[in-house]
Amino acid sequence: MSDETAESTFSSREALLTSPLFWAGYGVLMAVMGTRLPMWSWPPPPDQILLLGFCVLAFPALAQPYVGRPVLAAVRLNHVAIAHRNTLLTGGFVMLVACEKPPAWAAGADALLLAGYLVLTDAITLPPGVLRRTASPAFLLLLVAVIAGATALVALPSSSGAYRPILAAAAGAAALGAALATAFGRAEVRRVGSRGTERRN
Amino acid sequence: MTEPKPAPIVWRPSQRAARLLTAAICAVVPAVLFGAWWCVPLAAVPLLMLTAHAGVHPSRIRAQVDVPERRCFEGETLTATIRLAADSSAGWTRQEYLPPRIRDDPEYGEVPTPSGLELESLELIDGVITVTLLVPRWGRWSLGAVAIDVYDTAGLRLTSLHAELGEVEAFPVPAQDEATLAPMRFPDRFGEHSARIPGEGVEFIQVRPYVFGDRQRRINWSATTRRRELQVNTFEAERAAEAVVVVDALSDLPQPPDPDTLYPRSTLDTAVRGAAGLAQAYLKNHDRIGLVTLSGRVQWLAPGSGNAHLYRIAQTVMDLRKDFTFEPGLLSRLPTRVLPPGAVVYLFSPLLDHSVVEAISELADRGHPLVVIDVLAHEPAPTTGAKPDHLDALALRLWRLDRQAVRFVLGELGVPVVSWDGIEPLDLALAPLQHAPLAGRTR
Repeated sequence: MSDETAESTFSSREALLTSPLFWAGYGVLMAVMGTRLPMWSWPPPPDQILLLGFCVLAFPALAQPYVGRPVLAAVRLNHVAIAHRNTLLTGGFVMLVACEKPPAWAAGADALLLAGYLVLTDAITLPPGVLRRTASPAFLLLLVAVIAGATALVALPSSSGAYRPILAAAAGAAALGAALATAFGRAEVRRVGSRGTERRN
Repeated sequence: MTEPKPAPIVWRPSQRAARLLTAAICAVVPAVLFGAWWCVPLAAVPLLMLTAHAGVHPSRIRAQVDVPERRCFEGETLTATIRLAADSSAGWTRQEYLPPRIRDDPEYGEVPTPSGLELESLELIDGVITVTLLVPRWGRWSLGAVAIDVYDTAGLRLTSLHAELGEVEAFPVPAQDEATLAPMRFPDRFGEHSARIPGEGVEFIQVRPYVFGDRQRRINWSATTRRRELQVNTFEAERAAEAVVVVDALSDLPQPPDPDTLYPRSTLDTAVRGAAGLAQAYLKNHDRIGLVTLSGRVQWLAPGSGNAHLYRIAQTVMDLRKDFTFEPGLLSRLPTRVLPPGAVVYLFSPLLDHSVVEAISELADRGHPLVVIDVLAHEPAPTTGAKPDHLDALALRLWRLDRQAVRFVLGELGVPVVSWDGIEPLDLALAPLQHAPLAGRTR
């Protein structure tokens, strides 16, 4: 691929990721999947319509990536919500999905939607050098494989064994380990702000 | 002396970590507690992203601020560098310039200080953050700070550093001025002005009869031949002038910005720039010039000469805007050496405070040749933003009448008043007063 082609691909990708319309569309898609619109029985009850309406309004706003410094001008609810809107969206989407049992394909689609949102948000908030390390093609393939594997396990009939509590316990242990690893860590020798790791403001 | 131990660095979860952990916990809790097994694929995504890349970070980070120049002229740019050093690796840093705020009054909130500092560039290259700031106004200003967020290699934890850039002294740019008004009587100092008294200068006055002690080279042989007795030439003495600039900082009104630079401007800016221009012109002629500032408390600088005196004058006015005190008495407490007898006094004022009129009256009573330079060149605009109504017109009329009354009082005192807007050269404003030496009031 020539330099010009690579540059135009990069600029079109950047334009897509910085477009509010793209993120609003992604938020609407998450609202549609989170409220189980494809699985609705018609005519839908009013509470489902209300929930869908709320999510279609709220998710596009919450989906816009927050690229500023994580600093609060004031400890007011709206300031906190603006700074942590992406966290609110992921949490809200997962809780919405957890409320109702979906078909196996929808569980996989939900996981893919969530993975896509988290990776795309990283793509706009992390510097390119760091992103290349954290979202390498091998890692993305692994992510898709894990989603497919977990969905396949969930899709098995419930009478097939006691694998689900083990799966949940493993997930819980991994969550605890990740939380601990995030809070405490070790260091390696390198300089702060070394070449190639600058973040553009 | 040992260097103080730096404060320990606190690492906290970043927004990425908050995002991933929230998603993981929101998926794991229903799965474990309520048997919502379909949440397991959802939990797998953030858990994998959290655990796949172990983030590492340094335990010690230091930011060293260096501002090579802490003095400049208004309108110049300053460069500050912040060197980051850490004992181990970090993922990346992001920096943000935090402009100075009015910290004394929390009600001002986000309003920036009157310094008008503008960030021109903020870039990080090889561990060195370079901040370029434009200082558009004279004064002693805080440069603000740079907040630096340092992330670990996975972007899951961050710590913040706060690099204070310190203060800068921005000197006023002197107004364009070549004119220096000469007084009727000069002090007894050698200089470059022709005084109207006999002396050793080069300006011829008259021929007079020779008296014992006159220098032989001063004999005018033509006159001696005509009058048949020895006649000598008489010349004017050359003296240095003394001047004192009085800056009225009791009132400060915003003015329209300079059309060339678009920098913020006020009556005090105009006054201080005019004072600097006059000081430069007098010092260039090897005269002596002093400064008195009328703000909450009266500050003064006795007349002096030399290039360094210009910087002393500039430093005297640095904190004028920050003086919110008030002491009565104004000029009555000034020592004589600050206002030498016969010194020309220039008073820069918007003529809005009535105590200035008292100060002018006091100066005129002391017999100083006095010039008042009115720096309020624009009438106040209605602040309502709406279309001016009859009350606005009435208020403006009253304001004009008040200004006329002040000028009338000054005219009665025999004090010339010239108007100067700070944009045209000061020479033009002072030109009408240059045709004759200034005389003070005789008692």
